Amino acid sequence: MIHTTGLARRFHSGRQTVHAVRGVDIDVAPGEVVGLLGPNGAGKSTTLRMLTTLLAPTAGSATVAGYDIRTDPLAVRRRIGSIGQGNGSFDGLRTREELQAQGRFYGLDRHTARRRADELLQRLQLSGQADRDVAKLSGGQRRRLDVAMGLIHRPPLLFLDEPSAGLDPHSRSNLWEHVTGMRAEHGTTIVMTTHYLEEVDAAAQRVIIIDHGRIIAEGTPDQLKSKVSGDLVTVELADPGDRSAAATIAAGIPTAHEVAPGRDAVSFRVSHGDTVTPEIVRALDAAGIRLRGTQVQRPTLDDVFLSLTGRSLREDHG
Amino acid sequence: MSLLTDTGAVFVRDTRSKLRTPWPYMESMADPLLLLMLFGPLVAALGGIPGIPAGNTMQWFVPGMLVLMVFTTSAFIGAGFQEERGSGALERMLVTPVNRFALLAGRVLRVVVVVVIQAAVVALATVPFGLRLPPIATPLALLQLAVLAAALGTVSLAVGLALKSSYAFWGVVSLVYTPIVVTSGALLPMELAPGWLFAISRVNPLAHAVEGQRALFAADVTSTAALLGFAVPLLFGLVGAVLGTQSMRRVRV
Ligand SMILES: Nc1ncnc2c1ncn2[C@@H]1O[C@H](COP(=O)(O)OP(=O)(O)O)[C@@H](O)[C@H]1O
Ligand SMILES: [Mg+2]
Repeated sequence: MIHTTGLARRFHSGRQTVHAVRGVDIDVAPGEVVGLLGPNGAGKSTTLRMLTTLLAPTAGSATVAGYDIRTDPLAVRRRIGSIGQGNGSFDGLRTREELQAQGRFYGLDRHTARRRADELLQRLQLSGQADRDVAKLSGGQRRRLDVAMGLIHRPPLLFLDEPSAGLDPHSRSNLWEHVTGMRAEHGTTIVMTTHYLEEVDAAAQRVIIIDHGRIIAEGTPDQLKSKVSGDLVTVELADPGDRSAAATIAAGIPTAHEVAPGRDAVSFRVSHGDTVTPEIVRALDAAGIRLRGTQVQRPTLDDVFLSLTGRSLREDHG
Repeated sequence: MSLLTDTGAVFVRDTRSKLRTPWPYMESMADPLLLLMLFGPLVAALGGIPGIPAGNTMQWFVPGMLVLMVFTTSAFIGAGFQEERGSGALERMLVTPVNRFALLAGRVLRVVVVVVIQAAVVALATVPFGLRLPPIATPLALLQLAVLAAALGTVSLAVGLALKSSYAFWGVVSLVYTPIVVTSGALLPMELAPGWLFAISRVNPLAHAVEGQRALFAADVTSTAALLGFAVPLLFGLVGAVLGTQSMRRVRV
């Protein structure tokens, strides 16, 4: 569905050159859901803008939905839907009008545009808002209208740039319900970026981690997590005085690392935390150390990014 | 033909949003009528000014007002386009296969339609005050105003595209506004102007439009002024269309 080689883009602002994207190779198979993950300024939007023909690459090549983005942008545009970082509807127009207009821009005749607009409004629970000025919609409703505008021509490939940024958790999960519902029905290929790690985790089959315009890792969320850190195991001690003894025992477990004695707990990273937990419980028990409880935390994608770059993805979230 | 249907789609969308808040259009129609009522008598009272035919001041004054009205309706649409660009609205249109030129043409078509209606209303409203509407020349005058609106609208969009910030756009507007209005000769005849000022008025498409309108309202259909009233705005608009289409191809959101 997507194939890029060495796709790159630089910007000149004043005397400075910004290398926003430094040669990325991306392959996306039909039906896949791929998440682009990376801190602010990593080059995610720039990558999407090249793939959606909004921006010409300065190097490299890409075929999207079967067509070259440089030589046949029109064919690409006909086959993709794209939901940009900002809201696509404009104040002063009504919900249905904007959706219908978008259908017309995709070349649908008036009748089809109207019919599909009504269908999508229904699907995305916007029927009640059909004749309202888009300025009066809530953030979640307005974003769902954006999704509807990206789907009006039934594209096989959909790009979403931070679709849920700025939404409250309820609207976010509602939006995703709709997006994943559409996908289940039509098998739409999806490429998305998001700030919310849980969303990539839940929705994406494959994650591409981008930093400073380069791909630094990719794989399924589980692959990424197991490749880098390990699970975080925490044993809570009944007696804080036992912590150094407990830490020594924990350090003795194969593959255990980052052993960190806390005030009344000891945590460490280890591969296969689930099977290790009974082991350490037995060992501590044998040493006469009493426990209050244990916890196993699977690594998050943020841990993955942290271990790859030494920086947290969450730092620059605002 | 995708250019035509796309232009139609852009036109419909643009018209819907603008006609829902029609106050700016009412205002720009009230403007010439107010000038007519308040400034017209002053001009008439001056009497015997070179350039103003003795007798019917209306026939001289209304054409200028119509041109100014066209100017206020069509010359600032570039700012609205900038707003759409600043929001995600232009981006969402640019990801579609919609014809790039149609994104401009549909908007220009909207001001053309508005201007023709406005001009017809204002012209009819001034008939009771003594304006005569010569049979063949009046439709031609409306057509000429339509051409002017298209030209000004196109150039405005091109400028709006070239200047990314609305500050820059309104900066340019406030810089050129007074010279354009004064040297258009709509309020006082350019025959009164010293040579240098008259020279400036020759490169002002509005001045040619005003003179063209006056010739047509005097039923002088075959005069050079009537012809230049078509030709100069047309040329101006073509330059705008070329520049606008070029920046439309390169536009980044
Ligand atoms: N039009 C532009 N002109 C100059 N620099 C830009 C432009 N667009 C993006 N950049 C720069 O390119 C880099 C990547 O930006 P972007 O792709 O928006 O990142 P992300 O979406 O991952 O947050 C940033 O440093 C950004 O400032
Ligand atoms: Mg971005």
